[in-house]
Amino acid sequence: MSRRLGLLAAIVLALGAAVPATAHDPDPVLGDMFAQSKVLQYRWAASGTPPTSMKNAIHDARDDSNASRKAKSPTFSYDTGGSNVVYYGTDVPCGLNGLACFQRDPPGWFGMWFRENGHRFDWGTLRWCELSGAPDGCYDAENIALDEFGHVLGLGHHDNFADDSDYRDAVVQTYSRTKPKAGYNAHVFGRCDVATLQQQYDVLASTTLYSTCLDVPTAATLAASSRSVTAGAMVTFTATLTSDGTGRLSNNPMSGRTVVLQQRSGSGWADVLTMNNASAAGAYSASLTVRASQDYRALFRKPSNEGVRTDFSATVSITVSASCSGPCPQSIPGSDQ
Amino acid sequence: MSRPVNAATVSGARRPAVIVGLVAAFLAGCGTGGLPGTTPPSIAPATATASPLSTPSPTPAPPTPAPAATAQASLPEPPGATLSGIVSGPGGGTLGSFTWNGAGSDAPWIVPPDASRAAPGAALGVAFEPAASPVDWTARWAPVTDAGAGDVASGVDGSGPVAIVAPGDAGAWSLQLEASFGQGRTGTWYWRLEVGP
Repeated sequence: MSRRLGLLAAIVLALGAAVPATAHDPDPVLGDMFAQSKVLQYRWAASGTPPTSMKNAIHDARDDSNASRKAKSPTFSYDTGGSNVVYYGTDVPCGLNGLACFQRDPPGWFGMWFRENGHRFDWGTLRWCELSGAPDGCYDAENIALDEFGHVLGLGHHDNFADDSDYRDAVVQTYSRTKPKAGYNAHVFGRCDVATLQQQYDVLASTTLYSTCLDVPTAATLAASSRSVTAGAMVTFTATLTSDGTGRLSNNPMSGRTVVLQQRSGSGWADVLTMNNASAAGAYSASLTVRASQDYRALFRKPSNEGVRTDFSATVSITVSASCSGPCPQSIPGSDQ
Repeated sequence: MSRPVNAATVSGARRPAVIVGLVAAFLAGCGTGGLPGTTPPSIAPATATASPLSTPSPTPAPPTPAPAATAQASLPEPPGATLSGIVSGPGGGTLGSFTWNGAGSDAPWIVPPDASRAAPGAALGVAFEPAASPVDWTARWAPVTDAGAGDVASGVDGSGPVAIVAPGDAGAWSLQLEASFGQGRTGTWYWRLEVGP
């Protein structure tokens, strides 16, 4: 162990210019993208139709891609008249060592090839788990097909840490793993696959969580139905929460999150209540009986399950006047927002 | 790791040329924009020169790379990679997974059958042909086991010319180099090294 640490130290010293690993970043991008939410239809190649188990694995991967994309990336659909072809067999343009390969040319078409079971490379024999009884050392075709579908969507091979500790951040990987290595049968896109899909195609809906492989700024706002009221009056607060990233991830309403109404407390702020989701996307509301002048703000705290940042709104000051014995002046909702 | 190993071997000296030839053929097929299936691409045995992948199709256009910012941006295919600083052996890397100009291939961690020899702690470099300098790269070392490559033992990241250090521990090692050349073009190369005095 100490020798290994010594080696690592030597490497670090020898490479003063070494750069930090880019792992935990979204997958690299491959060229142009297809249109948002486009349905990409594929069919089997007449000259290279997969055996049934392989067909099922590829269809399963299609479903995995459609279900786990969490973005407005295209979906895949099988159709006998599809313009995109999936091939299985011996004549694959995957180079000497490829198990599977792809070509893509958005917005037009894609192609996908899978090497035949039993192919003998100079380093070993290809065994698809689905076609060989799933012995140790086999490749999970559903996982590899999901990798290929990810490429078609525009995902490049994920950059891993040098120690490979983040391998499971992505299905679209620099090398394919065999059973029973961790991740060999992953059937959903990894968080850094999803991150790139969200960057390139936008999140699927306002309630869709941003991948934890991202670090998207957010913007919270707060308004009050009235800023000048009498003691005991009800004030309705309305907050909005949007993404404040770049490109597709800018100014997206964010619904279903936890937004808290805070009031100033001494030199800090204290939570008053959690605001309810309003009908409009990215809107939250809460009503509060106020009895004293007070400063309020809306706070969105970065949750542990989402790759977004904390933000809080500008301060909204509510001025409360004493109760009046006679008729009181009515505040005009919205007039002071 | 229980990756299947062995079977027929290809001459280490010949392998890089074969790989480059096949990759060129792959990308040539890409250039035709051929859809698979209607006329399946033909590929020659690994020991022979690959046939061009002519799969004419009226539908697709060839992938068009973005304008080249540097000379290496015009590389039509993953370059060959040769390890320097070794004592003996083929030196030529085996190309695994890559993405290049709208196409790509997925391969496992490959332990080539033929080994190069290097001294413990030797300074190693990798030269690309045609000449190219990666935007960034990651090198990983894994011990060679009966089943292929074991778990990654160490690694290093860098940018520009590849400069790595051989393990200090004698033994059989598998070296993986993942290099990015910009514009979504990446390649992964593998070597087997016998490290010893």
